Amino acid sequence: MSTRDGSVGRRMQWAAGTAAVLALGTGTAAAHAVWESTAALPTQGVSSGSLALSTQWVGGATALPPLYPEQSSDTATLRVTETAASGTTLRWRLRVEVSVTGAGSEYVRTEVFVGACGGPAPLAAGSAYEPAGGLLPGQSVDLCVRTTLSAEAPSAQQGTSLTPSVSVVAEQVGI
Amino acid sequence: MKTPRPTFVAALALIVVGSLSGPSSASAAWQVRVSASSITASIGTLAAPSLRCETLASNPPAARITWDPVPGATSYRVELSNTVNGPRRELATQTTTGIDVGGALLTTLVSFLLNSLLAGGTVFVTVTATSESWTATSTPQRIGLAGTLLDGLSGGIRCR
Repeated sequence: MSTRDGSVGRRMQWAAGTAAVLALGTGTAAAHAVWESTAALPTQGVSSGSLALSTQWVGGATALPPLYPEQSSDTATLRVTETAASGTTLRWRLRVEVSVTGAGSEYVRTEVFVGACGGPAPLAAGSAYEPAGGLLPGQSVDLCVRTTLSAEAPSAQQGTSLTPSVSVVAEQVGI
Repeated sequence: MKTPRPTFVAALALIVVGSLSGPSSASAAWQVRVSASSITASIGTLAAPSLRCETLASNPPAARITWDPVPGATSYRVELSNTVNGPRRELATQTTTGIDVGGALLTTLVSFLLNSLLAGGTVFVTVTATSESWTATSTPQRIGLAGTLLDGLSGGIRCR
């Protein structure tokens, strides 16, 4: 049979237990706050990375065959290589910008292919080549530029010179 | 109802702006641009075919007209005329670079060429290289009856 004294006793036990738990918890927290250890790491240089590109026409052929209406001329392979980020975790994507100047250039359209001309779909204008995970430091990408003269090119444009320009842009990705 | 203090609103705005602009400034990725060494290109010139003529030792003989491929040309139109600069009639349009002109081939144009043939004179062959709207026409090549006037077209055609 329960008595008032017994009830008081159980309350005291509960209170003592709760206090113990609180004390342990606080003590642990205090220990977390107090324990500390410091160790000196070996000195190691840290430097920022870099990003640089080199380009090379493979085979050296830099003159396109003459263009005729609704016909295309392909460049040699343009090899683009990242040259400065070796050993870093940098990832990059490649953007290619092609322009053509000269009389009649308004009748010339260009397409950029990764790999050989006429392979998979050309890069869409303004888009970048970025394989999954990005391009790696030191990685090379081969490009081909196809120029096509419009069927509407007037006969008067025959024999005119054109100046194509190809710029490649490496952009850091993954930040 | 309480209205927010101006200082609180300003601070909140700074936090919001900061949180919005922070990532964009952090994402200012490195980039480098390089121009490839220059390349040259040009719009081609459609050249006129340069014709050669050879009389075939067939029976009856025929005039074989040939020419070298013209860069950029997608087809060649072969035409006949009675005079050098006279009106021309199409004999064939083709992608190959040669044609044998025999009597049988000319029968379709006999009425057009009749006067020249009856006069025992010369018929002129021209070839026009074509690429879309561009054209380039050869200088005329002369051909004529290989036999007598009585033989007519059945006597064959030869180079002149």
